[in-house]
Amino acid sequence: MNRINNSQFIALMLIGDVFVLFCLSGTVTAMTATGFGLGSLLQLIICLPAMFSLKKGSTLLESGKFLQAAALVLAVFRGGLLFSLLWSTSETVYIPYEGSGVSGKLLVAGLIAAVCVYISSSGIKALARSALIAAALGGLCLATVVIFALAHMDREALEVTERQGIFSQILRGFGAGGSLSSLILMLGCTENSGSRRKTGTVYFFARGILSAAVILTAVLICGGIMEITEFPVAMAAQLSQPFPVQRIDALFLIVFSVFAVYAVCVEAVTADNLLNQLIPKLKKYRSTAALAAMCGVGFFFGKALRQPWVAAALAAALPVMLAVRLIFRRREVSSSE
Amino acid sequence: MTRDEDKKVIRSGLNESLCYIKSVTGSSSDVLINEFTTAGISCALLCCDGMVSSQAVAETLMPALTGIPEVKNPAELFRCIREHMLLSTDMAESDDYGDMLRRLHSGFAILLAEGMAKALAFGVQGYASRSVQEPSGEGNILGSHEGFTEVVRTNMSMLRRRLKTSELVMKLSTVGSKSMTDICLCYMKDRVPEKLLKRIESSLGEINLESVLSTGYVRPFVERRSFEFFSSTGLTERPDVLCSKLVEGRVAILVDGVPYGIIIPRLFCESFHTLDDYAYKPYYSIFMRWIRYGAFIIAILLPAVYTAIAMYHPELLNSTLLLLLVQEEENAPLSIITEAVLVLLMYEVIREAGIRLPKPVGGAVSIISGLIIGDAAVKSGLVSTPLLTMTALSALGGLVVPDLAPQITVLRFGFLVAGGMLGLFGISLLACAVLTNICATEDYGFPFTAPLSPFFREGMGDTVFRLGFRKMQNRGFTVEEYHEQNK
Repeated sequence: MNRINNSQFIALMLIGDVFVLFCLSGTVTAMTATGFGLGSLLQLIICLPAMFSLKKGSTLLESGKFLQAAALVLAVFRGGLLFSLLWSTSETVYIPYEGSGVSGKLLVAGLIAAVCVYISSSGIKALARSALIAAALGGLCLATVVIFALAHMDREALEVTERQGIFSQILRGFGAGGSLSSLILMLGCTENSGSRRKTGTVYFFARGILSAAVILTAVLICGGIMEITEFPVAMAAQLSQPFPVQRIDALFLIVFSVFAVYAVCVEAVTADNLLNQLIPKLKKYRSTAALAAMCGVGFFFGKALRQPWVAAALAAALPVMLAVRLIFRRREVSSSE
Repeated sequence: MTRDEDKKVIRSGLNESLCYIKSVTGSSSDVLINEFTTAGISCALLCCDGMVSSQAVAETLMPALTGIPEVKNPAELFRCIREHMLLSTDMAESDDYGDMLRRLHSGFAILLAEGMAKALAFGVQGYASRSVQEPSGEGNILGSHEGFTEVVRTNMSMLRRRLKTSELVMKLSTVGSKSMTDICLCYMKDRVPEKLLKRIESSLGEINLESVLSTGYVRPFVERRSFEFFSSTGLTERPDVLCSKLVEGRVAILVDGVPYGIIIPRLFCESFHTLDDYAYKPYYSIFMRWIRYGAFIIAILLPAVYTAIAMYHPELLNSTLLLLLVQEEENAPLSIITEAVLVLLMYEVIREAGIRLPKPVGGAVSIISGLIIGDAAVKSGLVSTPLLTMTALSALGGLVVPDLAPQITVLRFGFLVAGGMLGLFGISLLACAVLTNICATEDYGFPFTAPLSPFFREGMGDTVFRLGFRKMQNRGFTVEEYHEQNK
């Protein structure tokens, strides 16, 4: 399998997480930022067993058919969630033709899927290399948007208390960063197996900090109008204006589209590799089949998948299964000794 | 000549040999046969008209050959010539007709003698060729003004003059079963990665073409087979540029008849480097390098972004610009995308005409295109002035990076269509695909996008910036640093 380096891995995973943040809907407060940070920490804890086994050289692709099938299903559902988020947010960021009903939605999904098929056919290495450049450029664009948006910030918004409580926000944060099938697969592709645990930990911390920072920025900018804001992060970008008569929110559309493509691509490449293990005969159309399934899942179950507890359950499923497997294996080894 | 005939040994009978050569060459008018007797033995001197230096033949070869005192047998004659006469610095013996004819057609003079089943070949090449001139496409201000010529040996000498070290190796071989083109593999034996050299040699061994008439015949064999939009091998017509690449551990291929050298591997960022970058002060070089990066982006994206903004995202423009645009576009009879495609097509046609037409007519093309078509199109309202300005800027941007001209031309159209149909969303999608294609480009394990991705901090000193030579001299950079397996 192709090898990727640690910075490429972190860029690849963070792009997907930032895309989910762009599509974040509903009210956000300072507590949401804390919840997302703690959610990342919780994910790190449940992923530790998987990361320990990766350190020993075992990868998801060598972990038995059942776990591979489970990871494949989860990747498809995660992809479906991403498509669903894309459809729900694309009206706000203005993607041409998206508003023209089902056909517009399918056109947007089809175009993204077509690009994803091409990218995933180029392999993990090419995907990871381009993701690093896209992440760097995207970061630069986002920084520009944030700098100009900060002129409209309202510090009092930080004092608004969360009605639903911290646990609901942790659940929300836990579910938002749910691409753990891809995380475990991609982490297994990193060059140095000895540093995988460290790389994984760095990623979770980076995600926690980044999520909190993005949400806090959205709170500061949209604080006053949070009640009427459907997508706070996207709205924060729209409020960014360098000059009184000039807007730059189309810059956000570019970052949004690019991150959407890479977020879906990560899931498509994961599904492609797992399909290769499960059905080796299916040679040509693995990623096409996976993307079609993702579109279908997103279209039919999108609303359900966007529920925080469903997203959190999907995120937790694979690491828990891997942990249980690890415990059973240890017991088997100790009983045989 | 078939492969069997190619290996046929030379006959000892002179007349028999000459008859055979005449039959094989079809009594071609340029094959000259001069029969004479020297040292009491009948001989023949064969040469190709126009390929040999007639002065060397008339003043050096013929007087020496005809003045040999009598010998016992033809073997004695050949031994005498080989051991006692220095008639040319490049002297060889051929045992078969194939090798003999190859040398004859390469400008050697061939000596055949009655009773001798061998031929002596004297390197007296002297064909007409273009002299060393200034490169036409890679101009610079402060560096050398010498460019490669069509003669591979002249090009080799230009490299040797710049790298007077025994580490520089130049290996000549022949490709093309009919053209028998000389190609020269150049490398620094202490710098080149051994695996890279072996793999390039084996790639060259796969060439089974009848003729090799330009570098374009060789490049597909040393590049990966999958579709790569950007080429992972570079071309240069400057010996100084080629030398700098050889010092960095790369391999170069010179093809006889072509004033360009192929560089393997090439990196994406190198398309934005010029030799002048190393002649000016670093601050100016860095500034110019960033101008080139910007020009590349403008060349590809400007018409597309203009179209996308005008059609789908007018909120990006301030009110003054928006009003100007509306005023101009409402008079134009065509949609912005149609207008943009037509203007770009027109530009490409004019450019192609300028390249293909004889130089004296080139000026006329500029007048017709610039003054008549451009002016008339704007005045008649067929094309709006802002669009024409954008297209002109984009075309100018493309000229700043001539290495990437083919890719810029096609991508400009691709992005224009994407932007015209789907706005910035379409441009973003296509940009993702193109970026991945660039990142997937990799030959012999050297990523095309290095040192950006995979990221090499040390490589930034001559990519994003340009460090001074005092800092760079201690680095001892070779391209092997970028090989993924060597990290």
